[in-house]
Amino acid sequence: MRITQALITRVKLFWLSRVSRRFAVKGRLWVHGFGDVQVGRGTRFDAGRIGIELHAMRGARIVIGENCHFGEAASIEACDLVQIGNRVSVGAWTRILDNSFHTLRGKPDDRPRSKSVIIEDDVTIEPRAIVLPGVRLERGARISEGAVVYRRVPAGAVVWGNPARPLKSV
Amino acid sequence: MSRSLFNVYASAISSLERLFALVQLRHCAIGKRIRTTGRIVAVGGSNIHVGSYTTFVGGLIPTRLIAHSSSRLSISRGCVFNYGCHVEARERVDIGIGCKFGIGVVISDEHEGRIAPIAIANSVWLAHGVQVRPGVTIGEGAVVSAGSIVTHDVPPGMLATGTPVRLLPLDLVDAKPA
Repeated sequence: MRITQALITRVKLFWLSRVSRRFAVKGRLWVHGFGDVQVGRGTRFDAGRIGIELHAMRGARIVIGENCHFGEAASIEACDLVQIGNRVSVGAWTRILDNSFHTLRGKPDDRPRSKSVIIEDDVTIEPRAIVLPGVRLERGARISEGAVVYRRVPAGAVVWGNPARPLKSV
Repeated sequence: MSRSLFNVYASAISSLERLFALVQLRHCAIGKRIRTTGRIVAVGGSNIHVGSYTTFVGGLIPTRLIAHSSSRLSISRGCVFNYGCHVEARERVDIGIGCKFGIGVVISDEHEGRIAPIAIANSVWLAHGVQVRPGVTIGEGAVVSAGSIVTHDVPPGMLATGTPVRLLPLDLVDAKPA
């Protein structure tokens, strides 16, 4: 079962537009949805036992830069755009999404408008962090373990906690 | 693919999903038309009650429903569980009608040796990564935002954000009613 899934993922990635040939996948990479996924050169998916989810819905884009690193069970869901720069490290169990999928009140099927997530170069996201819709992580920011990011993080800042607040700024 | 063929295909998928749920929840007390697109690990047999029209979304990690002996884990109808949820009952866990659970929600009525029942009212939304600690009651229509750890009761119609949890009325956050 797992081997078939891995093969299907490989075939799917092969057919995806603008995927660089030179990136490494260890374990299972689960790409689904009808959107567009772009992966840059030298990016490593270190999926471990559980796998990594890349979910781009129809008309959505996930753009991953060069030399990034993804940990086990990281999950990216895009309804509009999730853009990740170069040399970004995404820790294990991290979730990045650009839509919260439900409104606070109202019918369960109502879906709010998506707000794209932009992660610039050299950002480090530590394990179990959650990056919520509309967030912009600027160059060199560091998201501590388990932080929940609601809004823009300025360049070089270190944030922690839920909601994420600055530890220090460089 | 023509539209009619697509409908046949979709209904076949839907019945497969229902069959898949029936097989995986075969020891539990279940209602009708429960669907799943992934794995469910249900431990505890007839102590687990799952209501009709409940959906379990599949993904990277199976959803786990665990009921220890002489406990009761009841899920009312129309709930939606995203993947990786962990619901564990040692005494009693009640989940109301039409609740929504995000990815990796942990609801356990035992934490560090303390056991107390958990009650979750109707149409509550727990976003991804929420942890509910023992003895907590969550009121009707409340929303708990991502990554929060709920240690105290949440009154109805409130938005609970952050760790430690802060409560904001939904009327203030989301001005226009549904």
